[in-house]
Amino acid sequence: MSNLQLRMITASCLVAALICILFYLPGFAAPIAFAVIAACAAWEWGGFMRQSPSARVLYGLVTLLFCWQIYIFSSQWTPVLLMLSVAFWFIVVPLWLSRKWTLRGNDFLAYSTGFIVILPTWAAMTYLNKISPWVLVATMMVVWIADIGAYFTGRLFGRHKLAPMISPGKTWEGVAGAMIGVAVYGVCLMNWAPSFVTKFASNELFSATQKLGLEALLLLPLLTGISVLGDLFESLLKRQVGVKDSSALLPGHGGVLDRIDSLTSTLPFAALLMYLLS
Amino acid sequence: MSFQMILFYAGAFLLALGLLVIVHEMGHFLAARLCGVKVLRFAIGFGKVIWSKRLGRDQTEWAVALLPLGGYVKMLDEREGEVASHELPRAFNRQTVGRRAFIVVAGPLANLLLAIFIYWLIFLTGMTELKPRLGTPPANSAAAQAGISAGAVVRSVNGVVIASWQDLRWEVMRQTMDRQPLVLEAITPQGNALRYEVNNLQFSLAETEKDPLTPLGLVLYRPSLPAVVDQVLPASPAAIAGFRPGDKILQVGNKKISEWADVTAVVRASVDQRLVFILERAGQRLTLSATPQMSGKDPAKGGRLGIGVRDDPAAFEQMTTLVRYSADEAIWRAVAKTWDTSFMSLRMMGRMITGDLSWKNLSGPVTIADYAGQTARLGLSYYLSFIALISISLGVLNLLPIPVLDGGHLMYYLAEFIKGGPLPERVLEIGQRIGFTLLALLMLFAFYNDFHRLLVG
Repeated sequence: MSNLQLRMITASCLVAALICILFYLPGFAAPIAFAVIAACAAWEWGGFMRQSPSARVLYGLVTLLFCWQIYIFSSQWTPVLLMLSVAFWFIVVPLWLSRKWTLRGNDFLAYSTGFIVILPTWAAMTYLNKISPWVLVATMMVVWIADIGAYFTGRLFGRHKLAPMISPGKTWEGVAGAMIGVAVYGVCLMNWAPSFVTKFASNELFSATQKLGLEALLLLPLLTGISVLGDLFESLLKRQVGVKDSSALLPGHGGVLDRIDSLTSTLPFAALLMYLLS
Repeated sequence: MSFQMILFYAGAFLLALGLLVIVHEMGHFLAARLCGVKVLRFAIGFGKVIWSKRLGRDQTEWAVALLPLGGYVKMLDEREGEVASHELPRAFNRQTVGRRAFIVVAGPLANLLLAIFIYWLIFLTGMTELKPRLGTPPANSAAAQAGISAGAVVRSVNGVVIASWQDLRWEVMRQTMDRQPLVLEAITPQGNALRYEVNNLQFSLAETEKDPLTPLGLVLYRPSLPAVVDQVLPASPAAIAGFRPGDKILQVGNKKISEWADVTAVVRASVDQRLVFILERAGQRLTLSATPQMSGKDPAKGGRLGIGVRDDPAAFEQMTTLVRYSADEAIWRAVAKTWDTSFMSLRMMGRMITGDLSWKNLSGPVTIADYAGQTARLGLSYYLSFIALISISLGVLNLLPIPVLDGGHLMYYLAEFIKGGPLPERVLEIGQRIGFTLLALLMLFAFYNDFHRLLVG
């Protein structure tokens, strides 16, 4: 079986699983599934820190525990987590990328950074999914469309390198393509979401589309920029450890973090905006 | 005005101005590049360069200069300096008339396109407007004769769909200009569809040009607010008479009061007449007398006491609606709005020249900065529509056939095209001088008005 075939099969399984979790399984299944994703991501993060296999498993289990704690006892912490994450991505990560900091050894700071990357992503997924699974899918679509837009414009017109030291494949033209793709997506959403929602009448979803105003449309480029940052950040970490994929959990794709790298930066930001607008 | 406020206003103004100048010069720049003309410098602002950087194949200098009221694109040109022989085809003055006209027109055009884009965004994302809900028409008006009852929301006028009060106003104006009888389709609060025919159109056209709706008896529905005083302005007739917040007004003179609108109607009609009010305060009845004063200098505004009613957000919600269009319809609406606004500002300028409109309506940077700050405080969509409006004015003004401006250059190129060769230097020079004088006068007027407004109010 070729790598591409493997990739396609894994992708179909993932999409099918996501659809099942979001739309067919009972409500409590989604946060659990998201927590499992978070735990896998944490296990891979341990790999970036060059930890022993047992320490990595332990870190994953602790993450699972944290998710459970937040879910059961302190959902009011969600906005705090989201704000921490946004501060991290807007302030710390740009510095991190320019100074090329590393996650060194058995370090409290490195574990905490892992939590700041992974836990808010879990909280944001849970929060957006609670408003409506459609809101979560629509937000994740921003990242996917940015990726697709970047990939094709980068291949067609890519000339000026974005960050040759970190990720040689990325170009400014790709970023522009991502921006344009997301802008078009935003306009389509603005155009069709309200009439779509009246068909699937649900109050939470309706009020969510009401928030799709001018401000939201103008924030989309910022969201796209942040998604690029998420991508670059993970690339840097992988480069520093000298691996191509974060793990081999997903046959043909690499690891969980490879799949959700842009989501770790965008979902908390989008969820915080949603929270502030309501 | 506090220091922070001044900073905020200045920031809002500079941001708007910066955006407009960049867009305008970007228009010239891109058109020049498209024609293969070499651009030496792209400057935001005039005068001393504060910051600059050379970029790209042509090493164009991107500069920010000290005086922020404009910008320029400097192109390779034999009239302005030596040009190496191999670069001659890339000089501006060597281009055909058509290409030069294109480069010159691209700046104002970019401003108009920016306005279209902003309006498109606003139409797409929606804006809050007054619902076309009709109030009780005055007795004997055309609307009353048509049987219109209060509370009905108009859906269409002569088949044209209406979304807001503004739409209604616009459509009625269009239809009555042609002296067409009006057929209104409306929905009552109970949800019944109704059809009204308003065909008793007895009024002058001059009347309708100002306000097409009132002469017909089509008035805006106002939710009834209880006649309870919420604020009393200090030193107003009401404060002197002893009104207090919380007073419920039961009777004025011999007129029984059931809602707030009754009170304002009596007060407005009674300038300098002593009115006796019967109030309820803390469960007790009491009588006060007060004399409404004229509000401002305009007698048409009627009398005023200085009492205010509490705003009811729920009632406001009932009166407004979010008007939003699909992406393709929003484009046409944005183009139409930009066209209408351009035409309107041209007409305003024309009427200033013919003397129909006072030169006092000319605004300079200070007034514009004031509007920039005010709209920025109201919200993003207000600020953006303000930017669109200024962008249109800038585009239209620059297209005026005054030498020095883009439109002046276009005028020269047109003459060149007709004549079949360049105009003599002497003509150009005289034109420049006239243009400079005109512009200097215009700016003087604008600044004078600004400071007059600032100091006198």
